This record gives sequence, C-alpha cells and structure tokens, in this order.
Amino acid sequence: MTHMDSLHAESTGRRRFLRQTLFGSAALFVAPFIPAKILRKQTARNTAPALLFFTQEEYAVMSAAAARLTGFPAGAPDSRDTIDAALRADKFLSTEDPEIQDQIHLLLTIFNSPIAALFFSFEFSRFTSMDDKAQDGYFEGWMTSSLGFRRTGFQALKRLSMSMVYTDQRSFGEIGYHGIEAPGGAR
Amino acid sequence: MIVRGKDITGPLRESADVCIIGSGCGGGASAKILAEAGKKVILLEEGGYFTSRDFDGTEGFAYQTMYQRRAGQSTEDLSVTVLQGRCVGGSTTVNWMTSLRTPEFTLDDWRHRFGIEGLSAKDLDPYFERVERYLNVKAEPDENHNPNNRIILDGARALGYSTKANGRNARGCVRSGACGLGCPFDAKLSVALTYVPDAVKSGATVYADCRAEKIEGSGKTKRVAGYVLDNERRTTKTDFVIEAPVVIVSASAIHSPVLLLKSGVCNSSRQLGKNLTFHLTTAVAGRFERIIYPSGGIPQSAMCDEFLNKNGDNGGFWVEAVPVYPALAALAFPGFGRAHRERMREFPHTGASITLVKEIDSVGRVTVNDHGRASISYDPGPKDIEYLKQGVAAAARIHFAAGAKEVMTLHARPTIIRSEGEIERKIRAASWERNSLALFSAHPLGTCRMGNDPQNSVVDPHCQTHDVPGLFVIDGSVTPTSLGVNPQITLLGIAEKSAEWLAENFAAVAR
Repeated sequence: MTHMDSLHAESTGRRRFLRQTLFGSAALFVAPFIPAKILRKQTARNTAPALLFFTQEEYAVMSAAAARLTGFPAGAPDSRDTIDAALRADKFLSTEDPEIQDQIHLLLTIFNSPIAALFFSFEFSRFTSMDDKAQDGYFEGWMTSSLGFRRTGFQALKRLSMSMVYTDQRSFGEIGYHGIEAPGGAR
Repeated sequence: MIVRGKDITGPLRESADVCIIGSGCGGGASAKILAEAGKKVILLEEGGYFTSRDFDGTEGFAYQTMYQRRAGQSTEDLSVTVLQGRCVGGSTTVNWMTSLRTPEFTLDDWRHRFGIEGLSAKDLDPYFERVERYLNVKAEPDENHNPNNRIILDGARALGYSTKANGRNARGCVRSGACGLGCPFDAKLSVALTYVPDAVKSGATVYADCRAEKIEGSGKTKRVAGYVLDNERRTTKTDFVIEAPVVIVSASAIHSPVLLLKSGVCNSSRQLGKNLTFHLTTAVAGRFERIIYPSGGIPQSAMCDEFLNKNGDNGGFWVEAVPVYPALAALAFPGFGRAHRERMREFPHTGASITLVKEIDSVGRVTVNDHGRASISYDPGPKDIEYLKQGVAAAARIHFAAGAKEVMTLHARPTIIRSEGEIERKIRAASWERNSLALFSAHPLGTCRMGNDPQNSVVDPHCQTHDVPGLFVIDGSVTPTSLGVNPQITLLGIAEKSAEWLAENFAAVAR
C-alpha cells in the first residue's frame, strides 16, 4: 500500500465498537435487510435544507435527537433565535474522516430502526415517531444500557448535539457566558 | 523559517542533519538545542501554524483547528476523550500551563523498576531549573487565583489537606481565561512562542501542515516520507521526503507509536504502543450561591496534592481546578434534555475541579487501525478505579468545604450529592462501567517506554531507540509510568537532556 493509499483508505474501521456485543452484531446483521420504508420516515420539515452529509431521513433523526438531548427546539430553519444543531452537524460531519462518517450513518440507522427499538425497548417504533416522553425513555435506555455499544452510541449523539449547540454563540446568553474577557484582570 | 502547507506548491525534497517529527515539548526543545549546536534541523508538524492573531477565544475555532481529531479523539469505545494539541507548539499551545516537576518518587520508581540511570531528581533538576527560567515559570500570588481555584485552596485548607499554588509558564498574563483556546495575548510561553522561534533563529526550518507517514532506511540515510496537508479542506496537497542521518519522533504518546508501527521499526521488544497511561481524569461540579464564573481568570493555578502516593504504592490522585467553557461543560455535564439545559443555565454559579489518577494497574494500548490511524484502547484497573472514586469523593468534600450547595459527578445518570454526608453512599452506588462516567485524558504517556533492557523497552535513557541507531523518540511516549503530575516540565526537561546528549555525540550517532 502506498502512502497515498493509506492516507485515503478510509471506510468502516470504527464499526468495531458495534461488533463487540451480541446485540450490536445482531443490529448490524439485521439493518441491511430492513426495508428502507420501515427504517426511514420523511422529515416533518416543509422546506428541506440543502444537506452536505446527512440524507433527509438522517437529518430528521439527528434533528429530533438533538432537540431531545439539548432541550433546544428542533427542525426550525436556522434563524437568529433557533440553533439548528442537525444542520450544523451536517456541515461539521461533511468534512469528517470517512470512517467516522460511516459510523454516524450506521448509528443513525440503528438508532431510528423500529427493529432495534423492539430489541431494546420492546416497542416497534422509529425514534422519530415516538412522542417526547417515549423519546426520553428511549434515550435513557441507551444511556444506561448494560450493552456497551448503546452507551457509546448515546455518548456519540450527545457529544455531537451538545457541541453543535454550545459552540454557537447564540447559546451563550442563556447560560450567562460572555466569552473571553478583555485584558484587565481576574473577576 | 516557518513554512505553511499552503505555501508548498510542489513535492518537497529536502535533506538535513536532523529531521524532527512533531513540534510540541519534545520536538520543539530538541529543535532549539540541536539548531543552536549548529545542526541543520527540519521540524515537521502535522497541524497548522497559528499565532495570537488567529486565536479568537472560541471553542469552535480552537477545537476545529488546533486539537487532534477536532477535539474528538477518544478510545475506540468513546469511554475516554483524549485531548491533544495538533498545531505548531503541540499541546503547549492549548494547555492550561500548569508547570510542575516530576515527583521524586516517580523518578525513583523508574530507576528501581526499569534500571534507568541519569534521570534522578538530582540529574534532572538542572534541566528543570533551566526550563523554568526560560519559560518564566512562577506560582501566582494569592490575589490572582480566580474563584474556581479558590475552591481548591480554601476547601482543601479547611479540611487540612495539602494544597498549593502551582507554577505557570506565562509573562504578562492578563488572566483572560483563554489558555485552552490559544492565548490571544501572547502571554502564555508555549513552545510555539519560545523553543520554536529560537530554533528558527538558529537556522531550523519548520514545515507546518506536513504529516509524516513512514520512516525508511537506516544508517546515514533515513527518509521521512509523508504528505503536505490542506488542513482547512482536510485534503492532501502533495508529498514530501526528508533525508537525514538522525530522525527524532516527537509525535506524542498516541501518534509516535503509530508512525513507528507503520514504518515497521523499533518493535523487537513488542512494547511499542503498549503501556499507555492517561493520568485518568474526571471531574465534579459544585453549585454555589456566589458567582464562580469558571471560564474567567487564570484557569489552573492551584492543586491539592494530599493524596498522591499517600499509600506508598506509587498511585493515588490529585485535584486541580478546571476551566469550564460552554461546549466542554455541555459534553461533560450529566443527563440530557431539559434538566441538562437547566444545569447549563447555572453556569456562572458552577465551580469545577478535576481529579487525576496516577495509574498503577490500568492497561492502555495504541495500535494502528485498518486506515493507518491510531486506535486507542484502555481498561482501567480496579485499583485505579478505586482511586478515581476516592478522588471524586475528595473533590466533592473540597467543594462542600468551600461552600457548595450541591455537587454533581459526571456520571451519565446524574449523581447529585446534596451534603457531605451523602458523598460516600452516592459515589459507591453510582455505576463506574465504561461510558457511565465522563472520563478524559490530557496527559497520555508511555507507549515507547524507556529502559535499559532492549527486551522490554523501546528507547534507552538517552531516548535513542534500541533497534535503530540514530532514530530517537523524544516525547511523552518515553515515560515508563504515569507521572502523577501535569507533564510539560518533565517532557521539556527530558527533551533538553536528550537533545544535549545527542548534540554532544552527534558524530557517533549519525554514522
């Protein structure tokens, strides 16, 4: 393999974390055979944004997930008052390493899969179809699961969502953060 | 001369006496000493070259441009976030400046267990003194500690714990709190502002945005090959080959073993990439009635060292303040949704401290994944987990003693402690499984460990690899164990000593 090959050869290496458990393996095995219509639900947005990384369906999942995780409103067009975490994540991930990109695609597919929800929560429903309370319960299940890969998946979604919201200066006012102080001294 | 990748238009072919890969503590200090000794030095840096004009004091800019994997570097299972700089100056460009010498018991341990001579406190003290003078390392006067550091000082003192102000490498600090985001005021005396420019003054050439992929050859002709990067577009531009009789790998404990493993060298001991230590870190956050504003003022100026090696087992922990910026807080704070957002709203009233464990039985390793990148694994040992629990408990006690109304840990399922009496019970009841608790490392060490015996170590006490004469590793990967303190002074001291030896013995080494 040449240097250039090794530099560019990126694909699905990080899927390893999902392969490490029985349920992860099962989900990986099952996911490709689930009809796309079951896995995917059309976004509720009237005007779909131009996306660089997510499919429209993935965007809808990410948008819903980020809204529940951060407590910030979801799905509205990026405006002065609304931080569209999913849209920011789309831009961020569009320049991420291909191995990470593959992992995120896979995670969102499994996370929103009704088969996975049936496995994990005994409820045949997409995440995007659940009401707020059920979504919170679903996240709680991933966050505290005895299965390592679900806790990892939760952390991945949380980190992505939180970092997209709280690196946006529009979130600073609410939390009383006013940036790096001017020279002059300690508070 | 410092050359950015954007200014390299075609394949780069150069030769030098010494090619150094990585511009942090190890690489920067080596470059200065060897250039001042008259050697032609080429210093390669994968990340970009940034100055105070670039630093805008935001997490968005800093994490995207100056941290490894855009601050997302972690173990494969995401259980430990590994923060490292990726820019000229390495982690010193984005660290919090805590400057402490290697504890004597750690150096004694190296001598006893690994047969390392020449790195006792007596041997290293002259180098530490020189480094501290050069970087203007001084402890802050009492009035300069911000409220977040006062929690440590006041809380620990109230409990009778040993606590003190730590040295910092700054001159003209305006206490902006921006240290972790790049100092916009050039007050932080990072490697990028000290060693690197002094190396350049003595004739060294720095190539930023250049990632080494492989080291080939031996003897007088070693070749370092790699790619010139467009870090903004995250693409490659062209390639480079640097020829030199001496090569120094200073790419950090995560990336040095990856480069050597990919090059197929220096692993006759089978230790390459093993023995990774993290200085395993978690935090507690206290809610105070008074304003703390944990992102303002000097981020890290005090620590509690009561519990380091207290049992004489070379382990233990200590407690330091941690600056809290919004995104970092949001990632670390427990839970999600409305409750998480409410906690974020208490940001100005939040104080935060980290507890860092000097590991004794954890097992960490860096390997190369299918794509030629670092794959990090880490299994915390039972003794270290116990110290982690004790560290969280101690930090919580310190917060209550300093007036906290409640203290939360960084467990995914929120663990809120409302009084000192609840500490032990709640900490024992919490889950300590992977990804049940936010864990960090800013001090990865040990993956090309030093020792006298080529059978169980990668480099000798001069940091020269046992397997390839003229190939050195000078960075955090050479330490045989976790240090127990923030590592920059240790790494600079070892780098100065090793580079000085190399300069004196260059003719023999470069044969």
